[in-house]
Amino acid sequence: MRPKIAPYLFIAPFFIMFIVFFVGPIFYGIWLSLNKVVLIGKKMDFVSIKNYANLFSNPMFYQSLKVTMLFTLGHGSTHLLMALGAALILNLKLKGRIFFRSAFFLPVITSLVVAALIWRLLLDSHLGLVNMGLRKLGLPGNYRWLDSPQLALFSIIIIDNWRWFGFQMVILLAGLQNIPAELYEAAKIDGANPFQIIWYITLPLLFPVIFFCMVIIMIGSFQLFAEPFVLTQGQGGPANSTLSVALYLYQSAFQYFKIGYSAALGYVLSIIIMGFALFQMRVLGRRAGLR
Amino acid sequence: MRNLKGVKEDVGKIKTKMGFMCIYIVLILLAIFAVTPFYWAAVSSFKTSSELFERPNIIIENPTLENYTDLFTTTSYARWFANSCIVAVSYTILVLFFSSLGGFGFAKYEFRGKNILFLVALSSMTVPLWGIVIPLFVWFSRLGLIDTYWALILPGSASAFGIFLMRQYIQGIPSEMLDSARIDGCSEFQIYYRIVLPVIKPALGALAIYAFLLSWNNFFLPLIFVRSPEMFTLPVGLAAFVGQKDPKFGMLMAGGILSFLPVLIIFLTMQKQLVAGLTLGAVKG
Repeated sequence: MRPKIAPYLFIAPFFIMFIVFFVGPIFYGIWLSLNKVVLIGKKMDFVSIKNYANLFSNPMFYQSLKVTMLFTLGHGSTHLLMALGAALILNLKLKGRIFFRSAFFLPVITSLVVAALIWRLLLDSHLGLVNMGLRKLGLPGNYRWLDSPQLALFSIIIIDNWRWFGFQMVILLAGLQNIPAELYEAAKIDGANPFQIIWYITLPLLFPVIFFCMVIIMIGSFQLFAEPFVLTQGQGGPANSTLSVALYLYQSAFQYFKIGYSAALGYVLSIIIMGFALFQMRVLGRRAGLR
Repeated sequence: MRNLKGVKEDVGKIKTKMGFMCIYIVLILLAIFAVTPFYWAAVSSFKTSSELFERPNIIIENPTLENYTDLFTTTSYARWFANSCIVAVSYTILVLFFSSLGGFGFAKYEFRGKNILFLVALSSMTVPLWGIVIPLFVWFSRLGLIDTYWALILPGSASAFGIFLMRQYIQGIPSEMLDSARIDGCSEFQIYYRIVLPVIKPALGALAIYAFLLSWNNFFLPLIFVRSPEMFTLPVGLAAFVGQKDPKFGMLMAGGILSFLPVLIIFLTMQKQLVAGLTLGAVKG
């Protein structure tokens, strides 16, 4: 008799927390997003889809979407290339590769806030190391990395490339180590040069892993928040050039106190991100089906 | 004929030598990119503010601990550090407990609704934080949980990734081992406690590091669930500084470096489990 109840008791603690702190809020969020919340916990007016209508007619929402997509494209493409290059090199079993792998991974464990703080100093227009180095090289070195609308998002892309490329590199390295060595041997015997080997053997075989990296980059990039928050004091400036969707959500809720509106925004953002995850499952599922 | 071959080999060697040089140059450049920010932060944290502002240099002229003492005397840094420790350690313990217990239930028992429940739990991994933070905030405000440790510890303690990882590991334990313990008179909970837990220690280690880092570095939840400065965690406290006019960079760097130390120690002592925990955690996406 006991074993019949036991499994339910074992999974109960997990599911109690799961329902209270996850499932519950999801449904409560739907209700909130259909209301105008006047006073938290005191007064709510049912407005049906008005919050969503306001959201989709608000230019700020589209601005934040644009910023987030630009960031995703810029950050995703460049740091995936960096990670791929680093992984291909470190897969060569060179001397010192353990050291390099550790060095590349170090930024990954830094908190985003600390990362933003350090880069705030490095990119400072007067006393930053970056401008100082540029001046030493005879370049202008007076770039306003963080407070000009043309450069601010670019700077955040640099910071995130620094923070994340070691992470993708480790995943890609694991993928590379799964490629059988005989394939390389065979190609070498056939007279292929290293670049041909990479292009015709490594990359096609690594593609599922690269695709996986692309999806987690998209999922992660769409959640951009801490870096612009810390670097712009929560403003997403200059001129809204670093206003990500998540930062816009924060502003709507905690600077303008539009709770229902931001709940709606949270829903839309979640659906976008879940879309990436589902897309990935479908593609990977189809590949598995073909096999 | 032999001569020609020799020349060819030489050319080949030079080519590979050049190749190696290029490869190492790329590696060294990437390493400089990865490590310089840490070096600069560490160096800056030992500089007086005049040295930092007037003569930016890659070496320290007059090393000083002033930034570190300022950090503890003029701010609530020690309190934030303690808050971060309390929150991250409690969160980690909860995740380990819920995940291992639930994972055991899913791995070693047959019961009604098992597959559906597991699927529901797993599918939650695709839902990001942003869909639930606003309702959680409203709800915590009503319950008076804003500004408490509970608000920072409980959300996310039902980790779908954790239960998934634990189930995978526990499935590897031979069922005969559990059966023989039953014959010896162990209760089901004793089996979990005495047999399963010791066996899955390596997996618990990786999950613990994953959970600790997640909580230690978390920024958004403490930012919205905490209002009063004495309840700040390290990331929120540090972020609040940088907002001030003329932030004291030396002190900020000292704060950043100190908050990074626990993570660095974990990294240096348990790199393998850390990398495994983090990358497995991503696979959940």
